[in-house]
Amino acid sequence: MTAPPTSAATAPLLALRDVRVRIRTARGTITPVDGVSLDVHRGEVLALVGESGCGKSLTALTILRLLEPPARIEAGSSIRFEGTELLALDERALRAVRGRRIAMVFQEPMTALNPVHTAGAQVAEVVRAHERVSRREAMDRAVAMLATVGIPDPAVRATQYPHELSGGMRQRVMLAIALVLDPALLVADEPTTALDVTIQAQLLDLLREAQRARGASMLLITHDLGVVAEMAQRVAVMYAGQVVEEAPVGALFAAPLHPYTEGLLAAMPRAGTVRRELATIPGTVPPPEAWPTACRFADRCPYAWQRCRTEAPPLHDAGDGRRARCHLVEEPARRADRHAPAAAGTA
Amino acid sequence: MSLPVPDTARDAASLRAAPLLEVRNLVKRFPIGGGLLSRPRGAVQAVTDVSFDVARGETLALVGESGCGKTTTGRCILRLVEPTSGTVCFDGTDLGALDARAMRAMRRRMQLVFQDPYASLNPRMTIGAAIREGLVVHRLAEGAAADARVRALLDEVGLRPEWASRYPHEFSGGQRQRVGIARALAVEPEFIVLDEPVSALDVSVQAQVINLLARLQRDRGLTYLFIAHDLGVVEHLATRVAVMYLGRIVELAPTASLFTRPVMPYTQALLSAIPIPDPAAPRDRIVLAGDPPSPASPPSGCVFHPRCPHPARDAACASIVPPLEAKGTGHEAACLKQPPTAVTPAAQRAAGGSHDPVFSLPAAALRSRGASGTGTRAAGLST
Amino acid sequence: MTTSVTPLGDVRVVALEAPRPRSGPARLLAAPGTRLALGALLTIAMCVLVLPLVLPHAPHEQLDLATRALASPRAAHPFGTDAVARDVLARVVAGGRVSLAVAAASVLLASALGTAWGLAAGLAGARIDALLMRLVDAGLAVPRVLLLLVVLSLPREPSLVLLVLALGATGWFGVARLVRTEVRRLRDADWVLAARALGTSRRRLAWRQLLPHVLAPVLVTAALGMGNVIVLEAGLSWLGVGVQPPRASWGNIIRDGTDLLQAAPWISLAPGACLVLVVLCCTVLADGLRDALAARELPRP
Repeated sequence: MTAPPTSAATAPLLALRDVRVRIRTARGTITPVDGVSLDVHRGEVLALVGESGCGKSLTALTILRLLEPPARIEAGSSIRFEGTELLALDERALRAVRGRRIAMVFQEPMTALNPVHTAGAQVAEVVRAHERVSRREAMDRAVAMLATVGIPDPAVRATQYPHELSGGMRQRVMLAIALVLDPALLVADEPTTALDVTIQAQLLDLLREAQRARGASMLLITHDLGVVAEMAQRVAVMYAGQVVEEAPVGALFAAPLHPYTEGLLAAMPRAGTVRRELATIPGTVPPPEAWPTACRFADRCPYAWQRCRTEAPPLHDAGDGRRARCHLVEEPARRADRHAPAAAGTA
Repeated sequence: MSLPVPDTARDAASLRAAPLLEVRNLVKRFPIGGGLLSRPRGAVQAVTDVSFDVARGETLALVGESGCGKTTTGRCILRLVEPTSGTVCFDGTDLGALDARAMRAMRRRMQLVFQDPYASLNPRMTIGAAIREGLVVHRLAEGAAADARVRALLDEVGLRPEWASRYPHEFSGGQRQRVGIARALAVEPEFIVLDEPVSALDVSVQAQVINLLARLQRDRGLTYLFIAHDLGVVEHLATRVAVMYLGRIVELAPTASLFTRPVMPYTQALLSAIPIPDPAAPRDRIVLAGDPPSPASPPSGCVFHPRCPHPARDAACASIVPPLEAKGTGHEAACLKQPPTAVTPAAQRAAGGSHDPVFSLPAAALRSRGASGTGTRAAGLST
Repeated sequence: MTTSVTPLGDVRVVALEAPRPRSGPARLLAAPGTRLALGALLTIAMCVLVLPLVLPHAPHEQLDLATRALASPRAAHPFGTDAVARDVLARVVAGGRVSLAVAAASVLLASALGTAWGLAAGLAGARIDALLMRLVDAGLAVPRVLLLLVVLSLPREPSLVLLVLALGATGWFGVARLVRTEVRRLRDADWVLAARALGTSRRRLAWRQLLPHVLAPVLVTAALGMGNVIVLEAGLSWLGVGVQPPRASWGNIIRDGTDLLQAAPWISLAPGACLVLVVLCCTVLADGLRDALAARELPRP
């Protein structure tokens, strides 16, 4: 991993270094997030992509230290935000960051909103939690924010409870809560996954506009490569607790370096694949207690050779802002040798 | 490897000859409230006047957004939900006329695969017992013969036969979906309703299950009703597509025709809303205003008219229910403003219309096709 | 920012992919409290079964009234003797047999009745279901002790069978409601729909698929009910309508001792202690069962 430039002007807004999450279970300790390093620069959208169980959501939760026991962030991990080490902050200082400088949007607006408070009150609550303003002023700002996120009749909607709002409306309220204090960073965990495609389209447009207009940065966690292509400037792909590839969005889709990324892109049904057998990634994502010690993708990889089973690949720098955790970066000639992976099993 | 696609001529011929499934004017109303002594307070019309045929060996996809009635339609067909009115004929037999016993026997021929592989298996039953259940109920096999069938089925769906004695929680989502498929196959059905069978799966696993479904259809000559919201998967698998909105079929067309020349403005918006996994794809899309209305109080006339972006939309759309009618070869849609239509301009004006029908197909509806012709279409890794 | 999302979204997969879990009994016995309670209950059960065979005195045997009445605990009579010079240990052991047997039989009866009723209501249509459950509500509305007093005071000499029937027949309402709620919850599950789609009949569905699910909560309720019924039977016997003397039960031994609490506290103390111990063990066991059964339903990712 290359060290980032340290001058203030180019320093990333958020820098994760070697973040590890351990969970003690009845059957032993697992490390579902294992040495993740990521930069989110000012004004950029970084997408964190991966399948269920890859550790992407857990990584997002480490940023605001929302993990709960038995999950623990290991010593040696570092999360710097606006020059401050978040992992060193006490609870009080952390609260000042949460919601104000860094805001989160969750997948399920129905469970993330409190059912006993009105939409307006929940937006106003965030304002009052961080700023000394009157109840009335907070509510005025809440209503204005609801209007900004495209809620019609914001004054009326502000008095309604979450169950009186549609899924799309609820997600807009979540967005209003997140944006009302103008955070520098928005962490959005599958913000549109629960929504229908036409409503998702509305929300994605709104998210992009809000992020651009405010110059905020966004860490967008998603499994949907379509959403990635529409929203992100850079992409980090996670597999089995590690970042396996990092690239500008155009390069990633045009020529993925890591075989896992390549497999994901190939497995998507699309206009060109009609009625043909889809490419698949054989086998299934192994559980954390069964992660291979060398390359974690080797068993499912169509290029794997001896080295992949004995030596864990580092996140190689491939130039042009691209990195991949794969020996192919050093031995590109091996790409010609495509064969059936070791795991012939099924998911 | 390509799937066996009946060529269109044969397809059309067999359709006319004897469809395996005929659904006519299906209506399902769910009462709201009500109990032992109280009357229902109202009703939600989940399915309104739905008619279609499914030909032997084809895959008809039923697509639409949540609450559009696609799942209810599938369950009404299998009579897992009792339709309010309308008929469902399976291989010439009117299912509504069957008594409970005859219907139970009929279930051997028509099966269901569920969306949620975690909810669709009894957590207290081994997967072997779950698959065996159908064999026992229909007296297809007993004892050692049944065990052998279970093992063969597991093998056929790509699971290890020795896993039969394991419980569902020991399997991943994709493996459970394979168990669900094996359970449906056990009774050797001709027709399977696939209710979002891959939308809960990660993309790499989803591709495996899609390939499995395609292979099974080819090997066993199955007929599918494929209920889905993911248009990428639909385009990949379906022979024909029916688009539902607020309980009605608003467009029904052969797959290629639907994706290259969508007629109904709702279908156009739906196609344009799919995120495309290509950063270079054009960004413009048809953005629909607002949310879909509640099925408890659907709009008058065309159910889509309050959100419709068609340039000729007018008062006629709010008063006339557009018929599902031919707009091209085998391509039906329900829209007063997309010619040709049997509702004449004069009739539309009489109903308060101010615009004559004019064909509209915004470029954004086809943006996923791209200029290169190899445009890609999004599919979620999971939901 | 208010957050109320389970923060371990990704991690739950871990449990799912884990190696084969331990069996139900193993999980149940993992908790030390449950092990202790189960051990104590088994010991008591063994005692009331085996001790009568080896004890020197029979429970009805009246020893020398002059010298042995109201003897305090000593080597010959570890629990002392009562007013008519009967060995309290022999009576407590014999009474335990009766008390435990009555409780077990009536709880079994109540569980069976309640499960059948609940399954029927849960699988029935809305009207039948409403009707069956209103009947249960009516049953729950009548105070159980009052009902028992009336029923048991009708015959001159209530038999043990009548006692079991009465306790069982008044104890199933809660079980029925519990089972019915569980069935209603389950019957919309996809796997129930899948079974129906396979052509499974209602009866087979209830037996093969639903019963294993409802047995778990029924078992927990039964363990709790065991403790309740022992106390109830003791109370009824204390009031004189339960187990009739000279047959011993913990309840009527305690009653024998209440008049003599000052002079001979041991008479009530021994059966009282047994009663408390058994009820406590039942409660702990029920808790343990609940935990073990809850762990069986692994969370979905």
